[in-house]
Amino acid sequence: MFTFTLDTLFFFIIITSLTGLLGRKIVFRRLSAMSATVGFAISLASLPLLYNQILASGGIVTITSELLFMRPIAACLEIDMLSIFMAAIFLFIGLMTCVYSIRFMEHDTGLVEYYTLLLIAVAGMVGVSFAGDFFTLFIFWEIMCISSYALVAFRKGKWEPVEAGFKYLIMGSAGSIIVLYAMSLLYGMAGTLNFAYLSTRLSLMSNDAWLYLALTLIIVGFGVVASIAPFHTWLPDAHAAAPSPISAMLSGIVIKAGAYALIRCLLLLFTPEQIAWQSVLAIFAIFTMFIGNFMALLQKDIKRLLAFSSVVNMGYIIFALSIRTEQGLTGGIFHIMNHAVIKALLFLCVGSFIYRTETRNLEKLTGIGRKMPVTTALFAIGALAAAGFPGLNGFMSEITIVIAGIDVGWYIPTALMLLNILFSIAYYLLLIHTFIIKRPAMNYEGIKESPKSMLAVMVILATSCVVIGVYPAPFISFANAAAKAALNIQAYIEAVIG
Amino acid sequence: MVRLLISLEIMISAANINFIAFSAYAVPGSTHPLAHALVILSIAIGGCILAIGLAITLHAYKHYKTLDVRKLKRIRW
Repeated sequence: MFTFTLDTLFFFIIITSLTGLLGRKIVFRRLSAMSATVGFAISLASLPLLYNQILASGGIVTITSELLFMRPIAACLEIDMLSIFMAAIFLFIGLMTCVYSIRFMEHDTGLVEYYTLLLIAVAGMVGVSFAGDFFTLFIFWEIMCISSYALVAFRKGKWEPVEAGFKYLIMGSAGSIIVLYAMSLLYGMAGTLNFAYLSTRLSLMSNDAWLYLALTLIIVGFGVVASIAPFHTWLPDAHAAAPSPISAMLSGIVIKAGAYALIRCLLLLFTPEQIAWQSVLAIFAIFTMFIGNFMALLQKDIKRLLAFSSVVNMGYIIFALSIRTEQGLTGGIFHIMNHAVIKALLFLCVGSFIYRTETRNLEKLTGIGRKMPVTTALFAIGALAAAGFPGLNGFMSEITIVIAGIDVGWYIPTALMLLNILFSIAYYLLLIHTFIIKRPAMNYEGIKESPKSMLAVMVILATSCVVIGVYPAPFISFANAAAKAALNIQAYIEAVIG
Repeated sequence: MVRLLISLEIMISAANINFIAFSAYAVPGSTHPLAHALVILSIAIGGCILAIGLAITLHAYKHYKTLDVRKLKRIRW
């Protein structure tokens, strides 16, 4: 119906909830976790098939219901290289968080709902990246958002997740409703919501005020989830209050889905000849970086610090989008992948600290490296990668964005971005100093290394950080193919209209 | 808090009415069925948002003993 990848996820959503019931009967609590893990693994393993299908069909696969007419008018999927790149990231991080949750969430109740919601959220994100018309994108978008509201407020017995979840719900739904309103305006102008038809019809129009209004509403609406600066305030609260695997998922992939939606809509619908959105978006991006960095320097709570660092990295990605050259987009898309891996690793390491010590306060966590050396070493790899240490993956994508910025002659914005990279080095080095070099602030008696299944996940993520950093060529060429597909609007239109 | 959720529903209604209004202009002489299908789906989505919002509101009431959203400011920046 949809592609095999999405079908598997939907199938396992049903299977996980059913096996959860069965697991309650036979008192085997991990059954739903195993079923969810198998679902993610099969879905991830089926992606190469889809990749080969795309290569065979010359770049784009369109999937529509046979009941409709021959041409997809509404409700179709359109999968190109960018979609498959994003889907691979979503499924990989989803699998990692799912495996990690098996030990991390073992003392919680409602685990069946937890794994089902995790699968639904990832299915929504994969659907967002596959969507070929605006309304399909919106439906999957809401599937993703609604399940992540529930996941943030999952530990409902404490006040903090409930408050953060409510804030996230109000801001996130307001954002998606704004997108819905922008869609209604675009529908009124073009009479369709299919991306290909919208793109052709909007490019014929003169630039009137309604087009500007629709553009503004789209940037604001997707910007809430992509955490562009004035709309980022939900992010530190939600990331800090959610369970750590969910923080890793939110920071690693949910906000990346926002970035994907911005890339897709802005590149396809608003050509630069019509509306010059690049400079406005660049200003937003620079503002985002500065806000994130200043706030991150002030934090005493480790998870809030990492959350503000996510805001900074979204600033880099939005800046790369606003450059709008092939090289800039390559850097941005590559940074989406790197940041997903790095931030998932960092949040999962912090999750292990919380699992053992039950505190998020930086002062109480001082010197934790003496008790949990392996976890702290993995955290240090992640922190160095996020700080842009040469030889690790964060450096490669940041340098690509900077070079692309210099190439188009944006010297001042690029200099500001470099300044922000230096800023972020400051607090990441401070974190490493606090964890490893400083003397322990309190005695951690009975604190052991994190459990093996959690360590295995972190080792995989840290290894991929190092591998991407040392041998980036295949990943850069994949990101470059994705950027080419994103910029090749003509091929995207011809795949539907013919 | 409940009023915030009601305002969200009003925003969804605004977008829905916009869809219906524009559907009269898309094809001359008749209304476009696509917009109606979209509106039905988006009403369902609005229901989902309301449901999860009310569930969170219920738990917030258990912790804070009030429905005044201005009291939900224990998280410090």
